[in-house]
Amino acid sequence: MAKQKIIYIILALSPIPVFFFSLFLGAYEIPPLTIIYMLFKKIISPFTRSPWPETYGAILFDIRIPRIILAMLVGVALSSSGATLQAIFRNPLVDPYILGLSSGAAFGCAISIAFLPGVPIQLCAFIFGLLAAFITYGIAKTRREVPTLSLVLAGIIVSALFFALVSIIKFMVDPHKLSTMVYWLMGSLSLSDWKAIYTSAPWIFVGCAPLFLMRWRLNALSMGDEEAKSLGIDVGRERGMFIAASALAVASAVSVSGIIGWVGLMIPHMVRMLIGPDHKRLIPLSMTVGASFMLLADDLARIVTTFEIPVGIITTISGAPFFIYLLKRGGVKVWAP
Amino acid sequence: MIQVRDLILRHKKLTILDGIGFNALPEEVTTIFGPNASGKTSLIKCINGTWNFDEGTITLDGQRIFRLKRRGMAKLLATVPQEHHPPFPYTTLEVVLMGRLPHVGLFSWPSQRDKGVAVKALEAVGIGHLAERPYTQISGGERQLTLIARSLAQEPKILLLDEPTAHLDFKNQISVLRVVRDLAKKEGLTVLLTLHDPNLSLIFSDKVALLNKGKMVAFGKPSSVITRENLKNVYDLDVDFLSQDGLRFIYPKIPGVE
Repeated sequence: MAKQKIIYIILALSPIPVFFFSLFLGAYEIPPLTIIYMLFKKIISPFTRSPWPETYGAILFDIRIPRIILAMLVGVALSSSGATLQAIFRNPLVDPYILGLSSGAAFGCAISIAFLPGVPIQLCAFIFGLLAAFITYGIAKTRREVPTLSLVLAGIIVSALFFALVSIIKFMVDPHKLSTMVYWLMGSLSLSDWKAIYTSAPWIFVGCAPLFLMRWRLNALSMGDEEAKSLGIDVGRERGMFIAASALAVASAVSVSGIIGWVGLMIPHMVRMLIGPDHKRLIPLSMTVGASFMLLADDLARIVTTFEIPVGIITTISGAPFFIYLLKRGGVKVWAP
Repeated sequence: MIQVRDLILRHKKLTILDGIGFNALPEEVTTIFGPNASGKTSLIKCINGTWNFDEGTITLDGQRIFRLKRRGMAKLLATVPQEHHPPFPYTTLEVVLMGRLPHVGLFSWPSQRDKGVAVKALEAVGIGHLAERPYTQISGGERQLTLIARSLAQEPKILLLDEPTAHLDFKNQISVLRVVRDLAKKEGLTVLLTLHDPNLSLIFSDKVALLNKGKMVAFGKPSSVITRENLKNVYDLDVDFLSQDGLRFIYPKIPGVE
């Protein structure tokens, strides 16, 4: 038990060292001591004139820090909704895009780039992402309830439909616009600024708060509808709430980062293997580990090559081997009885 | 105490339960006994509010069930499902703690006191030592006992069990039913369960309700319900009885088998 506690604390606090580590990384070199000095100065007297070169200030406070915060927010949103939806769908192989959200967001991005240059990509992606999730839910809903199998199937249908529409747009659009689109679809945080944080953070917070506060109830919900009902849960209402909250968090994350795969599937898994499936611990730790992982992946995207690699590619490339390792090590028994 | 009166359940054009009526009393084990598709599980699902029935009344400790909210119902009545593999390997204690759900606030989780109740429930069914084991890695019988412990953690007055002996081996069938019977006697619970096996029904029940094709064929003491005539009627099977040590056992008379 003591060992579990140590793992818990390490995972819970992991974002702090990763945050500071990431501050020091970047294409433009600023001496680490200067960075620490700048941070202190900014915290102690934020409004006095800064004694450092203007480029330093711009890079640290307007580029690196917002990007770091955004990476962490996206990690939190994807991992906690992934963990939640895995419980709701009673399937550890579910990812946050199961409701067709990513394809909807992709479609939103595509029309914004191709036809509506005046409308921000983020807004379009957010709206169409939620719309897709909504349509999925609507298709699956029968007169009285929403069976999970129908939800999964409806999600597949909606995804296929929206991705087909995206393909049509890709086919028609001019090559210059196409490359922007493809880059966005692969997922990247290169466009982060404070505005992206102001627009996405409140929604991510509103979406994640209920997941965090009501997380223990996910244990019972993951045992199946009839059991959850007999334990006193209004299954239809609570499941709908969890799905809506997850969709909101994911849609706002996707709107600022593009489609970043694997994080929402992998992080809950990893945490479950390390600390067990109890959602009372799983949700908060998925949040912190998701934040750390997303941030490290983005660090790699920033520094590995002189040009930027979309972070979605990094999450997949770094995630797959780790996943395979855990699986081979005997992790299977953790989710398959 | 469960009171069922003139219960009718229809599904499309079929009448699944047809005018069922009986009382199940505290400190007693009442068994619903009958062949497949006789309506045993449907009756359980009507009583625990999973399904809405068409006519009649069901009252639990004097309260009509349609007046009860989910949470209130869960404090009064616990249903023990058949054992199964959940998708995630919760520890046995975590599974039992789920039983505290109706007592724990919406934005909260089990307190130290809730944990105490759960541990006591595990001990009451005799598997306190399994608390930290993954629920997916214990035996079927132990899983069934865990689910009974979870129901106890709800601190209900009424316990429903739908075929608690299905999928269990002979020894585990006996140990589960013994635990259930002890709970009725010691804790004063009203226990209602469904069974397939006439001998187990004879041994462990205080009252038996014999169901066939949605109708109640007989209700009362086991020895007066599980009779040669009734079984011939319901199963179309010739049976006979053996008496030993004050217990009666039933066996089928099969031509050619001596």
